[in-house]
Amino acid sequence: MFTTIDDSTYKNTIADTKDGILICFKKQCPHCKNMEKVLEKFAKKNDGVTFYKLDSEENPEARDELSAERAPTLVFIKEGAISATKAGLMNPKEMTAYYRSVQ
Amino acid sequence: MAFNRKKVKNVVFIMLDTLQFNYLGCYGNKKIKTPNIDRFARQSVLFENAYSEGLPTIPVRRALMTGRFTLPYGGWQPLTTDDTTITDIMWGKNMQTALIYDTAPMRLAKFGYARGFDFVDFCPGQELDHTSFADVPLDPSLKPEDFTSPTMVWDKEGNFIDDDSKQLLDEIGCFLRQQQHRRSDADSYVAKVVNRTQAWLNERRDKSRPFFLWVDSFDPHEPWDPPSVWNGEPCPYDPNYEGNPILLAPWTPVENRISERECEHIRALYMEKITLVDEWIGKIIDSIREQGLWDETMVVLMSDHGQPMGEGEHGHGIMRKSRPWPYEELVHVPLMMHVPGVEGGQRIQSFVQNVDVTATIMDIMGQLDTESGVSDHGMNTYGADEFQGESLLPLMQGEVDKVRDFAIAGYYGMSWSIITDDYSYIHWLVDEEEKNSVDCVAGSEKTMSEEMWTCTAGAKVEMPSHNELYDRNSDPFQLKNIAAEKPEVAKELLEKLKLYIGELRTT
Repeated sequence: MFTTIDDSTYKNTIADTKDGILICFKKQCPHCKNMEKVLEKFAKKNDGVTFYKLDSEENPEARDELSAERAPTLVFIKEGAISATKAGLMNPKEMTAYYRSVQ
Repeated sequence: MAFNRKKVKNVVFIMLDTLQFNYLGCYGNKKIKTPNIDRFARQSVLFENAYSEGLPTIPVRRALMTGRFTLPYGGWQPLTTDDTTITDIMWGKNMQTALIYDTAPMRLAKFGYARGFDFVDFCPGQELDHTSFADVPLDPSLKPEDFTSPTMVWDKEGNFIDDDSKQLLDEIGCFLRQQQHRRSDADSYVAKVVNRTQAWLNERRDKSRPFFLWVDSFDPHEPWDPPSVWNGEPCPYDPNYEGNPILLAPWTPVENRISERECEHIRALYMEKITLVDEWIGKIIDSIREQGLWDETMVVLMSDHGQPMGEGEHGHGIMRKSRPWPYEELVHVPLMMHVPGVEGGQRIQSFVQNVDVTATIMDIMGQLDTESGVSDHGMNTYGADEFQGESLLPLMQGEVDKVRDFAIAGYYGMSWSIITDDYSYIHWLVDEEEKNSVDCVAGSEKTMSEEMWTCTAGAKVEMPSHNELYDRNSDPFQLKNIAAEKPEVAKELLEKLKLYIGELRTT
């Protein structure tokens, strides 16, 4: 479901994305895995949204540029630009509400 | 009679506030007389390791009503329209619902804990509600200072020790205004709740329809005013005590304020109050039988929490729930269930939590697999699809040995605890970063901003600064912290605890 992006691809990916969500994660972060499950549930009910993931420890440029020091951080992309960034955990209901609020 | 879901028509859920599990005969107490609850335990399934997760009064009700954990989300808060309660799910089903209660925190303005019940009967007078009667004239022969220990109120010069002194006398005065016309045990709070319950069961309900009845008795919560106090007689559990009866104690640490002898007497008054509650609650169970409902009615009896009452295992140095400390005497609760067709007399070892009680009730009512949707008439309907608990029915029928490997408990944003077969571990959310990242992600935007975490202004948010680990087998009441001796165990439990809170936070 997730397309993995990195320092070399994140700018173009964001610019080319109409409606997407990027999760910036750390490998040893258990909560990032929980948040990925939330995104998987969200994806089932939201056709047309593209999902990306980025290892924020291995991609320091993107991490700094996207203000994704915390893990997990979600970056919401709309019409080729970042519409919102949110760190922390959400359940599927909160995720849906937040997604709608930043449209 | 084998269990058959179709034959269970009704549910009676009985909540007894502040009933400590080990003050009941059926949980091993040899001193306190609780014959009715003990008899019920012998005929039902008793859970040895039931733990309330989010404390105190309100979060417990919230978890039970919504089937969702509260500890990762919030504490002392109103129900919101995002919450789906048992009665929301039962709307539009052929089920009459009733709530009969005197638990005043549930009645707080805008809190909405009576939401969705067809019939609601609130009996006023208990904590938070007693101020309603603050202007009622008090019989001049009744003096608040005669119902507590003078050394808890005044110093040697005859001055109030501190603000807690005045607050204590005010609180006692309000209760006396309420209870000054008491003539018999039938005027006690628990009796009022039970009598109104009897009236609903015997007369008011539609006997042609199934029902869900929630009875919520604030007794045996303090004030410690069992019959002996009103009759001017010695307390049967402490007949040699010579001081004033102690209706209430200040919201302070026990040390230098409440003597060990006074703590002992308070515990005796509490025991006597439990015996009174047992006597009256027995009447509801008898009534269910007399009306021929026993074989078609699920009956749940439990408490929301216990009570700190003194030093050591009795309360870790505090009296009443005056600190957000999730120790065993507070978080381990009694839980029993009678389910028609399920073998009585079983004692279940598995850890269970409040959300599992909700899932079990809805499983037996055939409502566990329901989903939210829209009715044929365009009205929103609600299902149990957001429940986080496990039905205990497979456990009670011997199909599985356990539903969880551990339990959690605590106060939202202040303390988290994990209880396993071998250990218990308490994580204090003491520094600002920990407190402000209550969904356990460092730097999260969610902040702990609850103005109220318990029901009394006298309670203070004071916590130890170091996390605590206890050997649950040799030290079940958590008196010897071994975190320094077993740092690897402490670390593993903290990681497990944080991971689980994170899992709950995302489901």
